[in-house]
Amino acid sequence: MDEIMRSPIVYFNLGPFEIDETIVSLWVISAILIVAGILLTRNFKWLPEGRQNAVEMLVEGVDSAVVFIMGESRRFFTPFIGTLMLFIVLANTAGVWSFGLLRPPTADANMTLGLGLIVFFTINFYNIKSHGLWNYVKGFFQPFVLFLPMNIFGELSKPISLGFRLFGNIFAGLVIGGLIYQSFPFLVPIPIHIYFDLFSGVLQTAVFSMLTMVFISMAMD
Amino acid sequence: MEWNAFAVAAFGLLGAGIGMIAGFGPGIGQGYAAGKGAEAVGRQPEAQPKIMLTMILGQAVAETTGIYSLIIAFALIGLARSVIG
Repeated sequence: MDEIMRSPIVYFNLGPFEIDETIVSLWVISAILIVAGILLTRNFKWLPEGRQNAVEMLVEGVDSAVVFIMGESRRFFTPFIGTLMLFIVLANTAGVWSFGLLRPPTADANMTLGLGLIVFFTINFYNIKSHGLWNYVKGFFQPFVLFLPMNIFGELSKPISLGFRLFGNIFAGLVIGGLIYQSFPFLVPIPIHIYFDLFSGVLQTAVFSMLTMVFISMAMD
Repeated sequence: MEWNAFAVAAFGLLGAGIGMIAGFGPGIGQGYAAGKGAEAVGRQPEAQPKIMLTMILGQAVAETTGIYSLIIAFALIGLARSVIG
């Protein structure tokens, strides 16, 4: 049980920072995204073919989702949402495409709460930007003054619920997978991997990005 | 083992089990959503992909409370194990 529910192994210390499995996985994922971003988008032509078709399909898919949920006027969120989606989907399925070498970084609450904080600051930034600081502050006193603590908690609960939803799903998948490996190490884990790593990972990516889009549009309306 | 450690471990593990009763809620909610989804597909089979997407998203959000209780259960098991040492 101890080795299943373990926290990430710390490899070494870099000054005050502990470099553990989560951070190494994040480095690998960032490297993959950066290299793929450079290699896949080189010398694009007017008439797309091959690899350019695939990249354009991906961008168009994210773009149509953003337009569908946030509307035509907020299309400039496509890069942000697309980055979140690519990053989270690679992070959730890290155990599969690395053949078990990497621990999914989203199975660490620090990382998912960090993502939640990014979304939190984005929400509040665009809330202030579209309504002005005075209306933003006034919004916390709606419908009347006594609702102030409730509004603050409502705002703070967004990143926490986003972060813990992602963390809980991936960590639970990791623990259940570990338990199954302990009792049935042969053939049985395959459907478990398909469900918990692939299906659940992609689904939680969709949930995270969709909720982010809804929160941002709600803040800007 | 002294009595305090024993009590913390025992009640921690019991609490983890009791906490997972929260699995009831998401189960009922997800089943309800799936039933409604099946109804909607029966009424409008051509809208099946959209219904499916909405249903799965709603279910994933409904699952959240169950996931929270799972995190609490894990935390309690971790506490019990750290006390047993």
